[in-house]
Amino acid sequence: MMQSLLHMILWSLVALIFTIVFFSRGTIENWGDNINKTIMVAALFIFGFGGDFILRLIFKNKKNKIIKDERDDYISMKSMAISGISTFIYIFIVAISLYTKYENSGYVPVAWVWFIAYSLVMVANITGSLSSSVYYWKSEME
Amino acid sequence: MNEEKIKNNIRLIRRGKADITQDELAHLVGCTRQTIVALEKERYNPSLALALKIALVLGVSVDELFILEQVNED
Repeated sequence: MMQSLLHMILWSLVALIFTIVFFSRGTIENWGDNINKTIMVAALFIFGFGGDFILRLIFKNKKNKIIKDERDDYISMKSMAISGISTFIYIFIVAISLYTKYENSGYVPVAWVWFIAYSLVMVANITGSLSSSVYYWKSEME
Repeated sequence: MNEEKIKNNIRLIRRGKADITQDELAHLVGCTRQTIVALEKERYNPSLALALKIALVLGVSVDELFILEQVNED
């Protein structure tokens, strides 16, 4: 449960910083010209996946201590399914929203394609860890 | 509509016949104590391998440990 919670906090932080960077003034219009922001977003991903890797190392089964077992694998599978469905719904909503917004102008700024690509990973990670945290919480509460 | 639910006597046998703690049982079968807690609360159904290990450690048959119940939802 702790690993899921930390994972959720880590990716929520990544998503928050990404949202602030992406929606700051002029980013969407000048996406291609602003290399610093592209590097910043890439660094955010390194931070997210790097943190993920460190968490895996910390919560690895030790020689005489079992930290993870078949129930954790079961919860992980369930949360992956929820994460997949949530991601589909998210993509659908974002795509429809962009279509509605840019329907009259006839083109969508390329920054939004990057936004979908980056945010997709974040949404998948956050919903996955959120659902597994809820599963753990539910099984330990009753 | 009928639904099937797996009930178990793990807590009863662990505390009675076997007289071991959740920690000890977890250690002996190779899982976490949280999994034993979830099993005893019937919040999780174990794999066949884990069910067999628990039965072996507690010294009972799988039949004595797990009961398949029909739940009527009407």
